[in-house]
Parts: sequence; C-alpha cells; structure tokens
Amino acid sequence: MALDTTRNWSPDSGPVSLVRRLFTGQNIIIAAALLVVGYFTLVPLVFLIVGSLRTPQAAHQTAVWTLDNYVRAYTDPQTLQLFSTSMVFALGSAFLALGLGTLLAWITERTDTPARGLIFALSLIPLILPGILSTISWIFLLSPKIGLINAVVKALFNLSSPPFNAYSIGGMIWTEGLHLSPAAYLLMVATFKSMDPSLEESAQMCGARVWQTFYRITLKMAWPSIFSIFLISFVRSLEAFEVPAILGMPVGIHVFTSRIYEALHSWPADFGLAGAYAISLLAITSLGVYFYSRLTRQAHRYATVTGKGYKPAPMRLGQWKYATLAIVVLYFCFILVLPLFVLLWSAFQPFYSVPSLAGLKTLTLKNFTYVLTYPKVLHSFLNSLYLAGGAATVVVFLTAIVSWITVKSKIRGRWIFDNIAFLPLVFPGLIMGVSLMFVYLTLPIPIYGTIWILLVAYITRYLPYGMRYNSTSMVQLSNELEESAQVSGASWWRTFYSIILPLLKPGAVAAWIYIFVVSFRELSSTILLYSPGSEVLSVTIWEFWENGQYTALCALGVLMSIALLVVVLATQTVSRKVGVKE
Amino acid sequence: MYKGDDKIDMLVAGAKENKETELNLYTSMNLEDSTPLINTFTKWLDKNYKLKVEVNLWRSNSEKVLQRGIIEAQNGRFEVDAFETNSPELETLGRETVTTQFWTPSFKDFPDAARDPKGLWHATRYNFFTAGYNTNLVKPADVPKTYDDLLLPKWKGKMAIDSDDWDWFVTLVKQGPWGSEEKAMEFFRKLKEQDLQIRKGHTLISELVSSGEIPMAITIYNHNAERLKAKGAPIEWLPLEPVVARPNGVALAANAKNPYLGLMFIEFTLSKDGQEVLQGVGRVPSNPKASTSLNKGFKYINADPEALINEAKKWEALYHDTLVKK
Repeated sequence: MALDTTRNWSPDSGPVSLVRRLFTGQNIIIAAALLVVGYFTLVPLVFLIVGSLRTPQAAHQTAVWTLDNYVRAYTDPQTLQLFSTSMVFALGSAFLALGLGTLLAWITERTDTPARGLIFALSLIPLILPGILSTISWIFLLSPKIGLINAVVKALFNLSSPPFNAYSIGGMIWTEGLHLSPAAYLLMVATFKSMDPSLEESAQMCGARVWQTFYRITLKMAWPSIFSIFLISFVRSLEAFEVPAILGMPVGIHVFTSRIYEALHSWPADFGLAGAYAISLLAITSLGVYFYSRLTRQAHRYATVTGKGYKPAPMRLGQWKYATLAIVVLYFCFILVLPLFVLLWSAFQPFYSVPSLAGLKTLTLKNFTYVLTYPKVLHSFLNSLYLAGGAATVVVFLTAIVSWITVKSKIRGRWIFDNIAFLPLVFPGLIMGVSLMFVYLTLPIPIYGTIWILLVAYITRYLPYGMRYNSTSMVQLSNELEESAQVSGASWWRTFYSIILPLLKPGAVAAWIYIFVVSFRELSSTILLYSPGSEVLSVTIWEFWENGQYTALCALGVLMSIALLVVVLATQTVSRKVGVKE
Repeated sequence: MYKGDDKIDMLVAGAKENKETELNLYTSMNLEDSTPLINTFTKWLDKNYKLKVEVNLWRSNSEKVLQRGIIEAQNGRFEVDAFETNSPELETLGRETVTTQFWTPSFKDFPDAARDPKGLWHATRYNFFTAGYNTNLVKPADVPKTYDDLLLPKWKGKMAIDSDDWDWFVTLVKQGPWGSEEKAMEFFRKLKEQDLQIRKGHTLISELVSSGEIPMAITIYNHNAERLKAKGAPIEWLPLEPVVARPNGVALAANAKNPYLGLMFIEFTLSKDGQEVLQGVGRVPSNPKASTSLNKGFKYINADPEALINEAKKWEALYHDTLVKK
C-alpha cells in the first residue's frame, strides 16, 4: 500500500507529468501540423462524401439522403468500358513519364554527359505552358491532315499515308506521358541528389557495367521514389481532362473523367454523381498509398544519407556520353523545341496556323502589346506571384513535418496521414472550389471573397506533391543523424530545423519550384473562388482560351516562361547559399 | 411595378438616397468586351445623372456565374446586384429565386420575344449558331445552302460539331425546316453517318477551321468567325436557315444591396448607348434596329430557355446518343 502511494507520487507518473510529457515542443508541432493538414484536406472530403449521398438542392426541392448516385454511377453498362480505357491511358502515360523522367534524371545527376547543367532549367518550361496549348501543338505536329511531323516523315520516306495519328490511344498516351515527364524528372532529380552514390561507386569498382549499376543498384535504391512517381503520374492521367477531350473525343475515345465532367456540366450540376465517380478514384489512390507505406515501413533499407559525408561524383561514360547527350537532345526536341516552336510561331502570328513560309510575311508583335495592355494583367500577375510563392512555402514546410511523421515516427496508423495528405490529388478541382465556397460561407472565418480563399485552395490542392517530394527524400535519410543530434541534447525542433530540413533541401527546392509553377496555372478551383480584386493570371489565360485568342495566349505563354525562368534561377541561387552545400 | 417614363429619375433619386456608390456585377461576357461596356456605363451615369459609381466586375463562364449566384444566395450572402449571362442560366437563377422581376423604360424599344414572359430577364445580345468553313479547302460552288446539303457524300468525314450543342439540336428538332420531329431526327441520324468529328468548344472549332484541320464546322458562333476573318484567317460563316439564336441577357438580384444601380445598369445596357457598345465590340445586340451585319439576311429562331431547362436531361441524352456517341 505504502509502495503504491509512493509510486503514484513519483515524478514520472501522475496527471501533471502526463500532461508535461504529452505537451512537449515536438508533440505540439506534430499535432499542429496534422491538424492543419487534416483540416485542409478532410473538409473537402467530407463535402465530397456527403454530396455523393444527397440529392441536388434546389429552391422548391430540398436535398435528401440517397444511394441513388452510386447506383447510377456503377450500374451504367458503359462505366466498365470507360474505366478500362482510362486504365490503359493512365498506365501507359504513367510508364512513359516515369521512364523518361528517371532516365533523364540519371543522365543529369549521375553521369558526365555534357551540358547537363542546362537541362534542369529547360525541363521546367514545359511545366508552365498551359496544358491546352501543348496538347493543341501536338495536333499541329501529329494530325494526319495538317501535322508537320507527318508531312516531313511522309515526304522523307515516300509513304502513301501519314505514319502517325494524334487522335488515337497511342497519341493520347504520348502527349500525356510527355506532359507529365518534367514533374517525374524533378522528383527523380531530388531523389538522386539526396542519395549517397557510394554504393553505385562500389559496384563500378567491382567491375559492374554502367547499365548493371543503374539497374541493380540505382533503381533498387530509388524504389520508393519510383513507386511514388508512378502513383502520382498514374492518378494524374486518370483524372486528366485536356488530352482525352482534345485528342480522344473527336474519334470517340472516351475516358472515365469525361463522366465527371459531364455530370458537373449538366443542368443542374450533378455534384452527387460526380462525387460518386470521384470516390472510386479515391479508393484506387488509397490502395496505392497503402502499398507505398508498406514499402517504406522498412525505410532504413533505402537510407543512404548517413553520418558520413558524401559527394556524388559523376560516373564516367566515356564515348557513351554522346549517346546520352543524344537522348537528352531528342527528349527536348519532343517536349520543348517542337511545341515551343509552334507556340513561338503562333505568338508572332495574327491567327493560329501551321508554320509555313507564307506565314513569314504576317509576323507581328501585336499579340505582345495586346497581352501587356490587357485589363488588370499586371495586377493579376502580382496576385499569382504572391499566391504561388505563399502556397509553395506553406506546403513545403507542412509536408516536411508530416513526412517526418509518416516516415520516421513510430505512430501507429501513420500511413493514414500519408493518405490524407494525398487525398486532394483526386478531387476534381471544381468540386474542391464548390466545397470551399460552402465552407467559408458557413464558417465564421472571413476569407470568402478575399485572396486568402485562393491560398487555402492552392495549399490543399498541392499538398500531395509536397508530400511526395519530401517523403521520398525523407526515406533516404538515415536515423543516425537525428539520433546523434538528440544524444548531443538538441531538442526535436532544433534537430528538425538544423539537421533534417537542410538535408531535405534538394527535394524541398524541387517541390517548391513545382508547386509554385502549378499554383500559377491552377484554374479549376480558381475560376469559381476568385473575386473582384483577387484576379489571377490563370483566369486571364482561360479568358484568352475561351475567346479563341490563341495567339495572345501563346504570347502570354512565352512571357510566362521567361518570368518563370527568372524565378527558378533566383531560387536556385538563393538555395545554394542556404543550408548544406550540394 | 411602376412603368412610368420618369422611372429613370426615380432610380437616380433612389440610388442617391440609398447612398449606392458601387455596382457588383457577375457576367460571362469576356473582359475585353465587358470592360468598354462598364467604362461607358460609369461615364454615362456621371455625365447624365451626376452619379459617381465604381463597378466590381466578376467574370467567369456561365455555369460558374450560375453556381456562384445560387450558392451565395443559399448561404445568405448577397454580394451581387446584377447578372449578365446566357439565358438558360438566367432562367435557372430566376427559378432558384436568386433574381427578381424588373422593368426599365428601354423595354419599349424591344419586341416581346426579347424577354422572359415572367419578367425575370431581358435579352441584351445574341449568339448565333451558324456553320463555318475553311475558304481554302471549300470551293465557292461546293458551299452548302441548306441543312440537307450537309448530307451529300462529299462532306463525309469533313465536318465537326460541338459535343454540347444539344440546345441547338432541340431547337432545330422542334422548329427546324423538316416539318416534324420524326423527319428532323431522320436528318440527324443521317448526319451522324457522315462521320462527324466531335469537338469541345466553339472557339477551338473556329480556330481549327481556320488552320485547315476541320474543313466544315456545323456549329460555330458567327461573331467568332467574323473576328478571325478580320485578322485574315481563311474562314467564312454560313447561315443555314433557320439559324438558331441563343439570347444572353441581364437580370436583377432579388437581394441586391444596390438595387437602383442594378436597374440603372440594365437600363443602360438596353439603351441605344449600351447596345452600340456591344455592337462596337463585335457582338450581336438584341435590339432589332441595331445596324449590324451579323443578324441580317437570314431567318433565325430563338432557343427557348424555359423549354430547354424543363427537358434538359432528355435532350442532352438524345443529342449524345444521336450524334456524339460512336
């Protein structure tokens, strides 16, 4: 009895010390990060699920609970057919993006291929170009009727019919895969940068050939990243809209997302049905994230950055470096030079047309003066700049903490946090817009009608990307660095700030740049949520597109690419001066 | 509702008494065209009525204008004073009690067909669905003269149509030149056998006609074609009769904070000054006396928004099954 009493009063137990143990700086920060991420993502999720279980609300008809949306969505005989087309398209595009991104990243980060320094900056340009434009430029290149490549190849090899067709499942996979490849490349660059190459060097010392090293060591070490990229590309192509609408629809190739689109664009907008469809995308993604978490449960197997210093030395390829250079040049021809050529050409033309000698006479600067004097264009540009910078910074920081939790902590069920942060990837942007509208018209948080609601939307939409970038770098970090900091008496926060964040830098910088770019472009939620005063550039882009002012749009695309390059170069310069040296 | 000639003076007095200094407008008209309209409106108010007013313009597509209007009203948020958008959306806003009835003196210059019989909206401009072709690819002698000419074998595989034009479709099925719905449907089924290309977006279709990717488009807006033509693109629009017209119009928010200015905006848009601005930016004004070439020389019929909305699901599905589905 006496003993028990003493135990109760010992300093290690009792309610007071329990509180003290729970409310450490570490726990508070972790809890705050989880709360914020949970709030951002679960609110639209609840909206999506509730919406999929309700009938539409109208003035003379109140909404009631129903399962009808699911019945309609999954008893439609066409659903299966659409779904299998979607799978072929998404798998094909994801493999293409992954293959290209990985190969290119390996070339730039691990070999002594000439001019590889340029590649990083160049690979960002395709990201800023509006997806609609790059898709249309492929019509101009691969259409059987007017495609430039078809015309050239046909003439060269004396063919009787055009060899390529943009309007086919192959053409769709090609366009979408290429479109996604820069994002895959960025993610792989981050991985290679934060991966100690000593194992690869040992393999080479032992006489392994370049491709053996690549296949047996590099790829295996990068496995979590590869899976991540595959997942992200797969989900993105599954919900892609532009390529199927522009290349698939004319020849009757329909995909799953066109169903969501149709449901949202009918009268009245059928949010319930769209929600029911979106839930199945959600299920597929959750499955993917679950497998990813199984994979990274043994994160230490992939950890290469340990207490030892490392400095990646590029592999010497000898004569082969010209082969890799050729691959790089060819890639940039497809992703950048050809589409950009069409784009640049159009930017100097009075109307959109296939490049030709006759067109040389009609070159004009009018599109540029038109864009620069368009109502509110500078104001919109500045708003976009603030929002993209703000969203990128918040996301990178938040996801760094959350990815620490999912990769490094031992909290049970931590993969669920990974999944939660991944959820926004599959919300149709429009549903996200509507849900945020409802939320901030109902909650007493006065951000409706201000620019802040856009910031919330962008943070929510791009959390998944921050998560992928940071978590793949986190997997590569060995626990021993953290442990030694803690042994030396550093607090969790100090360790996180001084050890982990700097080591995450390659991934975090890539994430920042990527999120900055995609926030700049975001339209599907913006178009509903912006207000007078908070106009952004993506709305101007959309406006040009809607009005058929493609040449003005091309001119704006050119100007945006230049502005983006400046931002990226500045980011790189700043990041080189902060934190660890690369 | 008061319908006297001095209504404008009453509105001006009301705006002053109510201390209305800004107008909140939701529109689907692009900025390039709506900005001159707004600028002329504020100058008109200042010059004629000594009212200094700022206009907060929110521009989006017609579906979003509808969604935002409804969601805000459902949640008791009354940001908007007036709407300017497509008539089916205006009809829906009226049904959802987001907008209310109104009358202004300029109504007298328009035929009854230019406004909603329930008094919830008034047409300001028209979108005409015309055909359009590439002038390098289609010889003058081959240009079709009637809808039925589109069924000639020479057009097989050369025509495109928009994937969402079921409002055009229903109007033609009901009021087209074929005399009965069965005969009209027979025409559309044969049209389908011409291997139509299904495209999304009227402006994209117009651009693709200019570039030579599509020789003949069945549904484009003639003001789009006219703009491209003015830039030297090889495109010409073609009114196959009867041309289907879809009105765009104005409406007054039921819970407007600035109702007097909302009505002044409506009055201005329907006035001679306002209609001239619309014509000046290449739109087709709804006033039949306006001197534009875009609504002359052909017979046109209005798409009836009320019928469209009542039977939307049915016709959307029928259009999809008849023309879009492969």
